[in-house]
Amino acid sequence: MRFAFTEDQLLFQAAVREFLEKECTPADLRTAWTSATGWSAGRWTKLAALGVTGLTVSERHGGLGMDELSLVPVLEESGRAGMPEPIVATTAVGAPMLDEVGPDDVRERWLGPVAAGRAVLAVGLAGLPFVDHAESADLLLLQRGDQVHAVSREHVTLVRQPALDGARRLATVAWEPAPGTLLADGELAAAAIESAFDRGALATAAQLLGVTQQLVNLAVEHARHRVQFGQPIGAFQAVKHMLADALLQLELARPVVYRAAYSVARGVPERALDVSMAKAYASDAATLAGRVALQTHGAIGYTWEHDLQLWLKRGWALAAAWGDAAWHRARVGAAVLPVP
Amino acid sequence: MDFELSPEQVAFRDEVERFLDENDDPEVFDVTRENMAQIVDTPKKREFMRKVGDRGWLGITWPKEWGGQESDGVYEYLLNEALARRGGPQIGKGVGIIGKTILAHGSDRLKKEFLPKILRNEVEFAVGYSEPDAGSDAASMKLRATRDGDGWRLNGQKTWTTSAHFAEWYWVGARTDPDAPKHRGITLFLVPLDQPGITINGIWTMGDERTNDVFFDDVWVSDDYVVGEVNRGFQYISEALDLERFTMFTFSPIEQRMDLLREYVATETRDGERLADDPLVRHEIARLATECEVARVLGLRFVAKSTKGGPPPTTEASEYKLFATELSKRLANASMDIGGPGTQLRVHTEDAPMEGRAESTYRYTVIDTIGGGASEIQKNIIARRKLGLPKNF
Repeated sequence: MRFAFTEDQLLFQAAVREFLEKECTPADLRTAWTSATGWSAGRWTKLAALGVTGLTVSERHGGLGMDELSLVPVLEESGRAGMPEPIVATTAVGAPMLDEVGPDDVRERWLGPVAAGRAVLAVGLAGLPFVDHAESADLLLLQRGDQVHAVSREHVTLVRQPALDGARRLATVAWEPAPGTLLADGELAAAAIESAFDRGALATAAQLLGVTQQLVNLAVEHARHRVQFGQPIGAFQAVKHMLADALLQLELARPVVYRAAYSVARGVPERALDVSMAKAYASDAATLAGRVALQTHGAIGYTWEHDLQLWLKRGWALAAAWGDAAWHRARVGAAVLPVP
Repeated sequence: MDFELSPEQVAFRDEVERFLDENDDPEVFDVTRENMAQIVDTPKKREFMRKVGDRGWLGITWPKEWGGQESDGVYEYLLNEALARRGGPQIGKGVGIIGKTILAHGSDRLKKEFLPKILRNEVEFAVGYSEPDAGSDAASMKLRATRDGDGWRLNGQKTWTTSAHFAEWYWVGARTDPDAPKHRGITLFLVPLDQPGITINGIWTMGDERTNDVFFDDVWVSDDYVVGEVNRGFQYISEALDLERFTMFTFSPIEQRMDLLREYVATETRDGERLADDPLVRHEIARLATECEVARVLGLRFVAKSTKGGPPPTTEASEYKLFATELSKRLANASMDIGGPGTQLRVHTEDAPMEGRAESTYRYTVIDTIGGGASEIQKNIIARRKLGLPKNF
C-alpha cells in the first residue's frame, strides 16, 4: 500500500501548474468565452510540447505512454486553472479509446498527431446527449449500438447547444455510418465503450477536484480580507464552518478519485463502482463549494466582472457532464444492491 | 499510488485473524457495545490484551530502545481495525496517548516506570481533561495544583472520565499557573486513582455505559509524576488529541454496520415489494456506501501520512474524526428510518431488525460527534490551521 503519487508524477503536475498559471489566466478564460472555438490552439500546442496532449498515447506513437494515475494530477490542474482545451475528450478518453479499438492504420494516422497537439478528438457515446469540442474535432469517435465508428468532422451535422459555461462548446451530432467508418463492433467495441465512459467520468471528476479547490481558494481569500463589523468575515464561525465544510468535501473527494484512477489504470473488476463513487462525490463537492463560495463573496460574486463566475459555471457544467451525481449514485446502488 | 496491501501486510493481517480466532470469547468481543467495546474494563479483556502484548503488538510503532518494533503505523492500523471489527478491546490510551507522550516528553523515571508496563498491558489509565466548566474549551480547566514540598496538591473536579472506576492511574491536566494565559498554565500529572482524597462517582449514559465525575480533595502528587515540563501540559494534550481522534474512531465498525443495513435491505420485503427496489432506499444505500468508501480511503491516507510513529497530521485527524462520526450518525439514522417500527426494539431482542443493532448504534453514536472535540470544534481547527482563517475567540 503506497498511498501517494510518485515524485515524477508530482513534478509533472507542478510543471503543468506553473505553465497554466502563466498561460491560462482569468483574462485568457474570458478571451476563450468569446473566441470562435472556446479554446486556444496556441496553448494546446504548448501543452503538447510539455507532453500533456499525448500523455496517454503510447511512446511508439510519440506520446508519454502513461496511465490514469499520472493523468489525474494534470487534470486537477486543468480544473484549477479553468483550462478550456479538449484534454478530457482528446487525451483522457479519445486517445485510449482509439488505441483500444484500432485498427493499426487508424492508430498510425491519428495518435501521432494527437500527441503532437495537431489533432483533436471528440467522443459521442449513446446516452450522453451532448458532445464537447465536437466542432473543433478532427475526428469524432461515435457509438452506434454495439459499434464504434470514426467519423471526420466534415461528415457529421452539428447543432450547437450553447452552454452556461461560455468556454464549454457543446453540440448534438447527427451522422450516418458509411463504408470505412466502422472501427470495431461486438465485444471489443462494447468493452471500449464501457471503459471510455468510465475514463470520461473519472477525468471529469478529477477536473472537478481542481475546480473545487479554486472555488475554496477564492472564497477563503475573500473571507480573509473582506472586513465587516470590524473584522475579517472569516473570523465568524457561520462563515468559517461553511468554508471548513467545503474544504472537507474536497479532501474527502480526493482519495476517492485517486482510488478510481487506480481502478481504471489497473482495470480492476470494481472499476465502474469506484468511478461512480468518485464522480458522484466530486460532483457534490464542487456543487457545495460553489454554493459556499458564492455565499461567502456576497453580491460581488454575482457580478459578471468577478472571476468567481468562471469556476462556478465550470463546476455546474462538469457536475452535469458524464453522468451527474444522481446518475452515478444509481449505478452505485445497482452495484451494491444487485437485482437477484 | 497503490491501494493493495503488501505481502507482509497481508501476512500480518492473516496472523492477527488467526490469533483472534484462537482467542474468541463473547465476553471479550461484543460488537453490541459499539464504540465502547474498545475500553479494557474487565479482567478477561485485560487478560486478552496481555496476550496481544506478548505478541509484541502493543509497541509496533515504538522505538526499539523501549521495547518497540519501530515498525510502520499501518500495522497498528490493521491490528486496531481487526480488533474493532469484532467488537474487541483496542490499542488505545496507554500505547497511543500516554505512552507516546511519555516517549516524547517524559522523564527517564516515567519512561522506566510506565513504558514496560504499558507494553505488557499491566496498567490501565483514565484520562482527565474535561471539567464541568471546561468542555469544548478544554484549556479553561480549573482543577488547581499548588506547590507543596517536593510536589503538588490538587483540588477540584474532573468530569466525563470514562475509565476512572477501573483504571489504576489518572492522566490528568491541572492548572499550575493561574496568572499565565490559559493555554500556558496547565501541567500534566500522573496520579494513582487509589490516592487518598480522590472520590469517583459514576454517571450512567444513554449507551448503558458508565462514565465518571472525579473529585480531588487535597490530593498530593510528587514532582516525579509531573509529565514533561510544568505549564506545558496543554501542548502535550493537543498533540495527543490528534492521535485520539484517529484511533478512537476506527472504520471497520462503520463498514460492519453498513453491511448489516445493506444485507437487511437486500433481503427484506415490505408490502410484497423488495425493500431494495424502493428508489428512495436504493438512493440512500448508494449514498451511504459511497460515504463509507470515502471514510475508508481517508483513513488509509491518514495512516500513510502518520507512519513510523511521527506526529499525527492535525487537520487530517480533524477531518477524519469529523467525517467518520457524522457518517456514523447518518448511518444510524438511516438504519432506524429504513428498519421501520421494529427498530425501537432493544438490541438482542429476537424480533428486532438488524439484530437490534439499529437502536444500539443509534444510542451510542450520538456521543461521537460531541466527545473527542465536538464537530464544531473540528471545523474551527480545519478553518484555522488549514485555511488560515483568523481566530474567533
